[in-house]
Amino acid sequence: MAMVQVIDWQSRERFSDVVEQMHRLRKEVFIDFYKWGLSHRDGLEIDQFDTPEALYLLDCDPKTGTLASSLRLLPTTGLHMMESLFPHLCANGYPRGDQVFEISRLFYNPAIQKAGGAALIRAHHRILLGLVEFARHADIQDLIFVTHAKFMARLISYDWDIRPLGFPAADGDQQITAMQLTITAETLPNLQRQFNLFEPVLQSWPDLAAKAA
Amino acid sequence: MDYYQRVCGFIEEISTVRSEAELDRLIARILTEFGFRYYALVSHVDLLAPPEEAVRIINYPPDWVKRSARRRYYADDPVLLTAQRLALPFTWEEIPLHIELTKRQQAILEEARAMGLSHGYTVPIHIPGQVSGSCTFVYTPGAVDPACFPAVHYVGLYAFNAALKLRRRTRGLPGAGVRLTNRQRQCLALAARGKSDWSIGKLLTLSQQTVHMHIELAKGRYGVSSRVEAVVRALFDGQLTFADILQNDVLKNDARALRGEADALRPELQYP
Repeated sequence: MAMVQVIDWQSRERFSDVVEQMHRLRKEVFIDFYKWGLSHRDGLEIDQFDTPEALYLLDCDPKTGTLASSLRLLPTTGLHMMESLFPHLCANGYPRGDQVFEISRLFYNPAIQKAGGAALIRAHHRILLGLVEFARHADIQDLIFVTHAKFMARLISYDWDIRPLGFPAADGDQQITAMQLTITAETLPNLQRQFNLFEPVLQSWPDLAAKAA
Repeated sequence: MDYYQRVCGFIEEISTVRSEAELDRLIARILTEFGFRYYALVSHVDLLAPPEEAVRIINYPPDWVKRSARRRYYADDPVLLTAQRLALPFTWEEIPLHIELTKRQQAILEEARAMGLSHGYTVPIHIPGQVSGSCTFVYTPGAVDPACFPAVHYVGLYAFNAALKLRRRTRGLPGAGVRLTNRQRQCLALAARGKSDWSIGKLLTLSQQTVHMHIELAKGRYGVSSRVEAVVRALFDGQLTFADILQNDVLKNDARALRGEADALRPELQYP
């Protein structure tokens, strides 16, 4: 059963193997499979938003070291995508500040994606629960992100507080939408009940308060 | 009208809705403001015998509802069929671009047109592990500003979700739905593949009686009297997926397991 760790610039060293695996899988998923127009080098996908301020959630199998899924968190107080790339997706601005982070590069290991079924659903539940657990520890109030409009139905079906930030816009032959997820005291217990997963999935995370000090 | 603000207000309103009647009123109000005449939020199930959790909020002319149900139009309703295939909303004018209309389907559209259902905007609802559905909003051309369609897209998504959650809650099911244990799920998945209790027992290294007990308990949790109904419920609420039931490599594994080769089992089947 995989476990979720959150790493920052300091802890990258300790997790260098997994971090490299993450960038390698990002290249496989986003460039090779989804054909996004991203650049890569030596088989790794890294962009200008992989900054020292970025945090990464990594769902790793402790036995094999294989990454099941991962996502990136960027503080909205620094360089982030909504401001640089997607302001047009927000009809009325969007929340920013110390307690607002932006989610991006969420992906599942192609092996799990292909297997589908229960394994994919469990990986899905783990990364979402890991995200909400971390949000509670780090006192994150809002999470913003851009997603494909076709995923909205499932995102809305979770028992959390999620709103669109604007209307969908064309992105090639797809439609993308900006959304805001507000974390409250109920978010974690609601999701745990919905996913029938009550054990904590978060294993380790950096102390954001200590960083800010 | 600031469509974005209006739909934000709608999302806020339905977040605390307590009854289907209240939800229906809120939907009717915002759609009227946008100029729509009729709406239908439906799960894509047999409308003559829908499972309890199916969504069904319709204000179409009652004659049309009765006739189309009796003549089983929903079986090849071109609107529902197109909604099954697409991930994003479409107008009825776009339907011929996506499916080749049979004579019967063209006749259905003609009949609908004659009853005042001539133009529609349909929002498909696809959530992995759940039965699909759609929200269709009917209008007369000129009565609706196409710029409001994205807002109506959101109305459909949020309204359908609210309807589904209300159905689950008011039917006495807990908010998160019935929960099966792993063993109950495994036995049900194998039963769904047509396996006998004896075969299931061999595959999961359980006695036939234990398998029977697990399946009876699963039926009890859903309050149904047949294992087929339990399978359908589990598919509907996502505890079973079609992948769980239809994976080909498991058939190979099944055959090997029946011959006693223990390493053929999928990892998930090996944990209690």
